[in-house]
Amino acid sequence: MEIAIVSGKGGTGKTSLAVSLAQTLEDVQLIDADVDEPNCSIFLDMDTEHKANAEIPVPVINYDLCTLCGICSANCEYNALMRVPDQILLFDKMCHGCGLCSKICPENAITETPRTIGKILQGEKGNLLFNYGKMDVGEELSTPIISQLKQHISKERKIVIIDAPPGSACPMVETIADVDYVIVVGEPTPFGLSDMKIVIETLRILNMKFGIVINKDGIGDKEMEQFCIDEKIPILLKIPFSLEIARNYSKGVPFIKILPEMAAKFESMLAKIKEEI
Amino acid sequence: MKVAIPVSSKIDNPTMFNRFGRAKYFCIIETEDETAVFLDNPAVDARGGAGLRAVEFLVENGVQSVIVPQLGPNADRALRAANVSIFQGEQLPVKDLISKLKNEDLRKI
Repeated sequence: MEIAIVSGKGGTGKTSLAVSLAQTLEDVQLIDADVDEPNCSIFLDMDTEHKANAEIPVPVINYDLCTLCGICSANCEYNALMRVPDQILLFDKMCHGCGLCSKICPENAITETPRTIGKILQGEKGNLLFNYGKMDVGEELSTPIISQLKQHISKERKIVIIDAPPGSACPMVETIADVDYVIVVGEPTPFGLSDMKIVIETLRILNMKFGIVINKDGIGDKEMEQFCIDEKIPILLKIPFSLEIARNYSKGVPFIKILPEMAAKFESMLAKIKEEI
Repeated sequence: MKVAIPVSSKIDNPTMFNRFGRAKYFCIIETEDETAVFLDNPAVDARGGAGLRAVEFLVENGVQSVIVPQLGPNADRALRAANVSIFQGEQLPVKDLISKLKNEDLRKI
């Protein structure tokens, strides 16, 4: 069973929940797909090693064949190619690796070569298998790294928890593609609710099964809970707001160590999720 | 020589706009006779790489020099690769910039 944890707004508690779940459940793989700023590893006392490079294909132009017709640059959606009088310039950081240029070149003058944009790392300790992606400094394309990270999802593990990046655009969509269930971690504030609504709209368009975990319960207002009731969205769990949790979080201690009684609630949450999928 | 200057309106003698790739228009001035035409910048709403798109467009329109406020690294590389001369402008009316260019008062960058 693959479960992705998303939020919309940053800082609502995706990583806290993902790490706490991973440390409670048996036979689990944790995937940190927030490749721009992965920080599950901070909460795990675990050595990781380099498994693979994350790459995108970028064009290489063979000037023995190129006639400088400019069809490639005119059709590049990302303006990564540019024709000047005597050559086609490649701006490799603009390139999304879509491959269109090599397909439409009438002279077959374009081949592709991989360019490394990040790394996939892996560690294992006790019951937990952990993988994460890390974008290289200066890069800006997280989606291909997430997609290549997900190729490391273990088929043997009983449960796979995927910590998604914040937001509701391509990186989040790539993270939740093909998962069985999505947990939306909400912070019960007007800001948290506003971002959560955008994520829910996205999840509905994608026909995903999802439920809400309200984190920092007790701060803000009751609007989020009311919204879930009105929209018939299951509230899977509430995690209380506590200074103790926040203090320990800042030291890299996940909340499950402070509230061990949450383990039983995790079990019933997973039971609810299993019923839904 | 054809010189391009980014501008935000098509009025007579507009002031240089403070951005290059996202300027609405380019004022193209022929230095021989100082005639000016305006071209709509196709890159104004580009998702990314606006500077590159703009350079490609200017080169296709026979521009040999640009007077610019500032340039990103991509547009800079593109202009140099296309052998377009780059002059550091300031926010002045285009006619003033052209006279400065002719008097060699603009720094080539």
